[in-house]
Amino acid sequence: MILSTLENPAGYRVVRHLGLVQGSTVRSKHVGRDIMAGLKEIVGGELRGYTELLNEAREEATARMRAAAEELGANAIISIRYGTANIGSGAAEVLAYGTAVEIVAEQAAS
Amino acid sequence: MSGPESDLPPGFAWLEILEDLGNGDDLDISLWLGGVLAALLFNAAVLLLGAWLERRHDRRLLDMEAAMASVRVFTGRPPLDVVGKPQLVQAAIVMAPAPLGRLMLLIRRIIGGRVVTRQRDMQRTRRLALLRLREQAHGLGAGVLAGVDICQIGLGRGRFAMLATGTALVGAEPGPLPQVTEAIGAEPPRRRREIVIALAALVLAAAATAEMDYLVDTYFGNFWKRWVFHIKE
Repeated sequence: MILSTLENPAGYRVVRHLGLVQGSTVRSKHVGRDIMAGLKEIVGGELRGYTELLNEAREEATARMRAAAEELGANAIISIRYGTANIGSGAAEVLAYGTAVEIVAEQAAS
Repeated sequence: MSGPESDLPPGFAWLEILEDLGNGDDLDISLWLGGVLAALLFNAAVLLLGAWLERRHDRRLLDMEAAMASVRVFTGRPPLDVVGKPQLVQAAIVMAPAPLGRLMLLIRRIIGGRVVTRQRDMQRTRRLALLRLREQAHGLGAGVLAGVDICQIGLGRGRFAMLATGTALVGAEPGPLPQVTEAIGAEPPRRRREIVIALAALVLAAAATAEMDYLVDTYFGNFWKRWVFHIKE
């Protein structure tokens, strides 16, 4: 499956729009990570525990969106966007959404 | 406090105050001075350590950006011929603000104006997110990142997250386009001036605390300190 943030992926032509697909997840880290993040916050900088949390959430949301597109019979998702929200302390929601489509390579279409 | 019979060398008589800490002989001075000095030193150390880490990170970021400058980034679809399959690339970063930024924000909330340190924190996070995106595209063998989108969210207590997404166009040849890094347009650092202002603010805050403590003791008595530290008259 082709995933793209573009409306018209380069080298491909959209032949059928199947509609909006989305996937979301809310994830939280264990208390140990929260304590480590609290200590890192004193001097500032990247909070790797939370970065990891956000990455895991993003991958899961993408996988769910992809599953929804496969269910519709799509072979690509275009115009993908991500949204995040803070759900209480230490938990984050990630929402992935895009348009499920059927595409063909431009050489094959012509 | 002990008097003129001090063993300390000339000019160090003020250290006698520290000798009285906790013995209750000179509660007016020793209790607040110990606490205020400890808080002042701890905050100053954290401030300087945070500024040093920020500076080191900035330098590393510049080097890494220069190494990845060959990957061109666009928010739309550039007019290029592409032969490979487009691939989704993503990067997420969660950052805590530098202590200098937190203190300058507090000062700016009182006097108003541009919070440069905070702006720099946000820019640094955005640059890091875009750099990770470039690194992924580079790893896939793509020279062009198209349809890049940045989404950011505040996580409370000054922490913020950036989520960058884009499409790596494998096989696209960017051609004679200028190499633009995220450092262009970023706020120039004036850390020395900011550190001096922040340290001065810390000393002022400590002096104000001490003065307030003195006024409270003078007009309301220090009975509450005796009660907290279980010191008998």
